Amino acid sequence: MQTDAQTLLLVDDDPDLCAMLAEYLGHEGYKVETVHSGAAALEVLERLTPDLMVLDIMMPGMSGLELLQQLRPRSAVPVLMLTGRGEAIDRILGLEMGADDYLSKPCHPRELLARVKAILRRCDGAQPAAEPEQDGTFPAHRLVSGELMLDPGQREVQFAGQPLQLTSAEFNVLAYLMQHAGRVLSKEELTRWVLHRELSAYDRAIDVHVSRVRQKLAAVMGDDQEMIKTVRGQGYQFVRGMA
Amino acid sequence: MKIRWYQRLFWKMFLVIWLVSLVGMGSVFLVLSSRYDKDHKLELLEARARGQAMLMLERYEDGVPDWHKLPGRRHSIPVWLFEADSREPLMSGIHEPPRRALRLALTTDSGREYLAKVGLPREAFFVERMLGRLFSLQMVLILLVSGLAGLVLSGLVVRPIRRLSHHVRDLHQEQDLTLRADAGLSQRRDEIGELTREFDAMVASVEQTLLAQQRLLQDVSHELRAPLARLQAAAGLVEQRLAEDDPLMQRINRECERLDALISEILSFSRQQNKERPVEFSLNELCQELQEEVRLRQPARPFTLDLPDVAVHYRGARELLRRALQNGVENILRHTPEETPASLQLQALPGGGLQVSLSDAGPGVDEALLPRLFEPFVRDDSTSAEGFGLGMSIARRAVEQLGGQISAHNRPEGGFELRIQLPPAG
Repeated sequence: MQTDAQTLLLVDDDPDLCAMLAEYLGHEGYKVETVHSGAAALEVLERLTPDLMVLDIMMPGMSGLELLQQLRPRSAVPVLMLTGRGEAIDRILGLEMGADDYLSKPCHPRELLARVKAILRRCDGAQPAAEPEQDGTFPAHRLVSGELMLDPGQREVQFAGQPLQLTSAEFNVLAYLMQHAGRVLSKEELTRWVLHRELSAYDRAIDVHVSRVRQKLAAVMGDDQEMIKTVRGQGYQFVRGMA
Repeated sequence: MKIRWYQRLFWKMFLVIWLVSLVGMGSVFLVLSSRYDKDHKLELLEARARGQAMLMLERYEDGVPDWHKLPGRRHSIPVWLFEADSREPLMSGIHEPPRRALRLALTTDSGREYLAKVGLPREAFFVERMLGRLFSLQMVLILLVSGLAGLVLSGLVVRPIRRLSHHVRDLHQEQDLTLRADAGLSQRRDEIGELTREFDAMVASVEQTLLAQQRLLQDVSHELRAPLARLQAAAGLVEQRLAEDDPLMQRINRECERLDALISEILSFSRQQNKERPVEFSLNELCQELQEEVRLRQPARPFTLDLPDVAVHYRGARELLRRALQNGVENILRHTPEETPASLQLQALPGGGLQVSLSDAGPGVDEALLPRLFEPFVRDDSTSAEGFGLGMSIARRAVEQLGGQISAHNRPEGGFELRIQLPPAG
C-alpha cells in the first residue's frame, strides 16, 4: 500500500513488547526499528531519520521526557509518546516538550496503528486536500496577518521576517486557525483536523498545542497582542486583522 | 472534648505547687517566729522581774513595812523571794509559787544573796497570735512568692505540652505526615523533648509505612501493566492473522481493557495520598469542564448546571475535588441510561462553606448498599454496569483530604444524589 515503506523508530524498554509491536506494524507495511533505551535511540537517530518515533515515557535510565528534551528543537522527527494511563502530568509535559500526540500505554495495537497513521498523514509534507467529510481546509497559499506570515508549502512561519520554530502539530494548529481567522474553531474540529482523531474525554492535547503556539507568538510579538483567543466552552479563534 | 479550666493540667499543677509551697513556707515561718517570740518574751520578763525584785529587796533590807507592795506599780509581776538557802518565802500569807517558774539568783548591794521565783505567764491567746501572724506582711509575701512559683513551674511544664498538642493537631488536620515538631520542642533536653522525639519518630514510621504501601501498590500496578501491554500486542498479532471480528478476540480485548481500567483505578487510589498544593480556582469553571466531558462522552445525556450567578472561587486542591466529582459523574454515566437527566448544583452555604450536589433522575441506589457505598470494592451488583467499586471510595478520600464531607442519598423524588460539602476555604 505504500510505495516507499515509511520508517518507524520504536523506543520502549520492553523488548518482547517491541518485537510484537514491530511485527504488527511490519504487517501494516512499515519498516520498524526498535531500541530499548533513550541512549540507544539517540545513537540510532544519528544515522537515520525515521518518519515517526514512538516513544515510551517510562523507561529506566534516560526517560522518554529527557530524550524528548535532547531531541527538540534540533530534530523535527514527529513523536508519538506512550504514557501510563492517568498520568496527565506526563502527557502535558510531553506535549509541551514537542511531542505530537500521546497514547496511554496498555493499548490495543490497532489504536497505536491509527495514531501512527494520523500523525504520518499530517506530516506528509503537503497536506492532502481537505478530507471530504470535513470542512476544515488546510491553507493552500501563503497566509499573512499583520507581520505574521505562514507558508504552507515551505511549512514555515515568519514574524517580521524572523522564522519561528514550530513543531508540525503546532504549525497545523496555527495554519487552521489562520485559515479560518475570525471564526471560532471548536476543540473537536481542531483535534480532528490537526491530530486526525476524535476528541476524547480528559483530552488536553489540542489545548497544549494551542498554548505552545501562543507562547511562541508571544515571545516574538510581546504579550499584549493576543492573536489567538479562547472562547470559553466553544474553542479557539484567530483574531482577524491584527497588526 | 472540651476541657474545663479546673480540669486543665496547668491549673491543677499551679494549685498543687502553690498550696504545697504555701503550707511549707508558712509553717516554717510560723514555727520560727513563735520560737523567737517566746525567747524574746522570756528575756523581757526576766529583766523586768529582776528589776522589780531588786527594788523589793532594797525596801525589805531598809525595813520598809509592806515592802513587797511597790508604790506606783499596778501590774507588778508575781515574784516569790527567798533567802539564798531558805525554803521559806520572805513574805508570809501568800500562796505557793507555781512549779513552772523562772529562778533568778539575786545579790543586793549589802552582799546578801536571795533567790527569786517568777511565775511564768500562761501561753495565752495562742490562736489570736497565730491569726495575727497569718495576716502579717510576711505571710502575704509568702502567698505571692509561692503563687508566682506555681505559675512559673506549671507554665514551664504545660506550655511545651500544649505546643506539642498543637503540632499533633496540625499534623492530622493537614494530613501531612512530613511535618515535624519544631526544633524548640524536639531539641529540649528533658522528658518533653524526649516525648517529642519519640512522637516524631512514630510519625516518621507511619509515614514510611504508608509510603511503602503506596509504593507497593504502585509498583504492582506498574508491573501488571507490562504483561498487559504484551498481552494486548499479542492479541493484536493474533487478530491480524485471524478474522478481525472473531468473538473470542473481542472477548480478549474487552478483558484487557477491564484489567487496564482496574489497574488505573488502583493507581489513582494509591496515588491520592500525594500532597497537592492548594490553589485558588473557580468552581464554576470546574463544573463547566465536567459538563464538557459529559457532552463528549454521552452527547445525548441531558446534563444541566445550576450555578450561582457570581463565580464561586475556592482555595484548595483542585485536582482532588475534580477527581471526586469526576468519579461521581462517571457513576451516573455508567449506572443510568444515557437519556436520564442529571444535574450538577453548586451553592454557597451560610458560614462560607460550599455544597456541590450531583444528582440524577435514575432508579437510585439500593438502600441497603447506601451506607457502604464509600467502602472500597463495594459496588451495585444489581446493574450490569462495569466498575470495580473504587470510584466512590476515591471520591470520599479526596473530599476528606479537602476537609469536607461527602454523603449519598436517594432523593425523595427519585434518583440518586451525591452531596459534597466543603468547609470555608482557608
